[in-house]
Amino acid sequence: MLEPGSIRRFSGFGRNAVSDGFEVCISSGDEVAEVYDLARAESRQIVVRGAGRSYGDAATLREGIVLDTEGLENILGFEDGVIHVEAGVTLARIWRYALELGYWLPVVSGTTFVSFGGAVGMNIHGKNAFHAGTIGEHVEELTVAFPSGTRTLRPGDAEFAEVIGSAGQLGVVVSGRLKMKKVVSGNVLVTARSCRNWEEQFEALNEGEADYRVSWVDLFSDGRGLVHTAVHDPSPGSLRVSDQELPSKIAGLIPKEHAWRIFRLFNTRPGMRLVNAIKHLIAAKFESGKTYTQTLAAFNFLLDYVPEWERSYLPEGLAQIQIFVPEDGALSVFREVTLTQQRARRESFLGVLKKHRKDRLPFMFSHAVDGYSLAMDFKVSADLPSLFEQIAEVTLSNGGRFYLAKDSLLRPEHVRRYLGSDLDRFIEAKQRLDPEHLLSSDLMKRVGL
Amino acid sequence: MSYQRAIVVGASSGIGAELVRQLAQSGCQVVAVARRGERLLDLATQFPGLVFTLEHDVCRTSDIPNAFQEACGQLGGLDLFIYAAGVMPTVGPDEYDFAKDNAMLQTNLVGAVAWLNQAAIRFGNVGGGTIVGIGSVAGDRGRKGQPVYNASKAGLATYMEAIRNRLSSKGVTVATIKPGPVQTDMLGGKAVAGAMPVEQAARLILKQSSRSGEHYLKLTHRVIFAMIRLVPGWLFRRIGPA
Repeated sequence: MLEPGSIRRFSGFGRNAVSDGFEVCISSGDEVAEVYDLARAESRQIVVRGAGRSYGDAATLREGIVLDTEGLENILGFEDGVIHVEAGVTLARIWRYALELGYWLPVVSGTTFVSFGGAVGMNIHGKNAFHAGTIGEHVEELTVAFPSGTRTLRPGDAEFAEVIGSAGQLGVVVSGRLKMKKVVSGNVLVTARSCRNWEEQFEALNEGEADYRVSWVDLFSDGRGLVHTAVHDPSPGSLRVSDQELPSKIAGLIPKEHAWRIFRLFNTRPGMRLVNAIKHLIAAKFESGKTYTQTLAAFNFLLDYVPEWERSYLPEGLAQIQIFVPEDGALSVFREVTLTQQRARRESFLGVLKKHRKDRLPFMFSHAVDGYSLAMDFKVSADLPSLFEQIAEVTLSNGGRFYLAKDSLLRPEHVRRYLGSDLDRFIEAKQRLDPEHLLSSDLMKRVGL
Repeated sequence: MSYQRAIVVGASSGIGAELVRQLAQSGCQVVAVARRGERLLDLATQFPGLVFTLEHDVCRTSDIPNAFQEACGQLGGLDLFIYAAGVMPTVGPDEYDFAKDNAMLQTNLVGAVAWLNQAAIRFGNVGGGTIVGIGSVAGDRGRKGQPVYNASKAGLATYMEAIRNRLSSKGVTVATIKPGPVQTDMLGGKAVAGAMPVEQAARLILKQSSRSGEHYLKLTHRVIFAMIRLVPGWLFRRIGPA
């Protein structure tokens, strides 16, 4: 039987649902086979969990075995700009290791605390998604423990693209090699432009040459906000990790470990309407049109400025969703989604607009489109599913897609519509690689897979 | 108090069966555990998809960890655990029958500890949940008529107090309920004055389950038994009831 004392309560990063499971920690890839055997003996399923940074229920499994890969923590090597890491190594450790050697991550999420295995499993993207694609395109090799045995995969292998993005449903990523990006400085040159509406957002987001493009959107308005474009600083500059540390105080006053408590005071509809309005006014008056230097960490890891910021949404929790819409329909869909929230008086407290391109390899459950994405942070409420239903409908009607790392609301019919024939591909791959269905998650059960 | 997933041990009759019924009526999924599995079938038939049955003898303590995990697996989690199993055979005034005594200790105390330990481990680790132990006012004093029944219920109450002290800081509610006489088979068909209908007892137990501590079902019981606990031993020997 499973060790009774190994039961733990897990949730996604958004803390909007909890799920109890039996935690099994491993410190070597060889141990995954034993975990598969344990699951067979106990007639239980396994969910693979890295750093637990997926917002919803991708890394939880009710009464299942929660395979914690954080103990796979070794950086195995670095050669010719390619880093070889075990699955539990976080992106933070990777860039801290590589920066002083003149390398940065090719793709980063908004937080640096994602594990390599999680990044590959969810096939994360960053603010450079419009030219760099998803992280899977920069992976050169993966070692994956399948229920039938461990294999090392390269981009030419069919299973390589199947495993990347599969949310840990086909095998357990044990380690991999990631091609890093050469940099001469740890800084980026950032240009800010304030926008009054959605039209200006799309115009500003596409302006000039840039390595990164991202925009903050006030969803209490008609898409006003602040676009940031950035290029890597071409002048040789500091590559010291110590220069990348985020400030210890917010606005020079509030110790960042307590900042979420201040955020919580404003975590209401009127409060966040006010915060968004003030931010817009400050951005329009003091930031717009300026170009300034920022460290790579400060520019990329906005979510890490305020530790545990997600706690400001408690007790209800945070449901983050991100919709991806092809270029032609994006503006009208995002405007419609904005109006839908406003009509329901359930506006997202934060909106983030990014530009994307399609994946160049057929990654599983791909969210990528030649178009744009809008990420939204909702405080959980009883009427959120019905609001989401309307958002899903307008997204799906316009050929849109979703991102499993940021989801708590998709239902089987949504997944069927957005994946289309890719769903059959997943079912075939599942049958071939995990025929006993040893791998699962609360998310997979929710969407009927 | 609204529960979604519960285990009730000792669910084939009396208070346990009624607790299962009321929990299921509120929409809670329940694993009903009892030695006499056939007696659970009515409940399962009455509440399809809500009541699941598990035939198990609490004296088989080595089976309990597995049974507990299976029950939690079936429910997809656990919010509430109730130990309601108990036996009280008739004991003569001069009877010292170890077989009877041992049966009472095994069911009322040893089996309880074995099941409740599992619930305590789980709820302590996940940081939440409710544990209810059905004790008895009979555990408050040692009476002439039922030395071992009294001892078993006193032991259960003390054990419950100890795990309450262990788990309260972890967000776990631990309630010991001390019903007085309730109209169940345990009374052996005897008419006992003031015996509470089982439906009322179960309703009050579920109501009181949300608060950690020792609870009597009636205010009058709380007052009377507080006074009984204060009666000096020499006087209790003379006037104490059977």
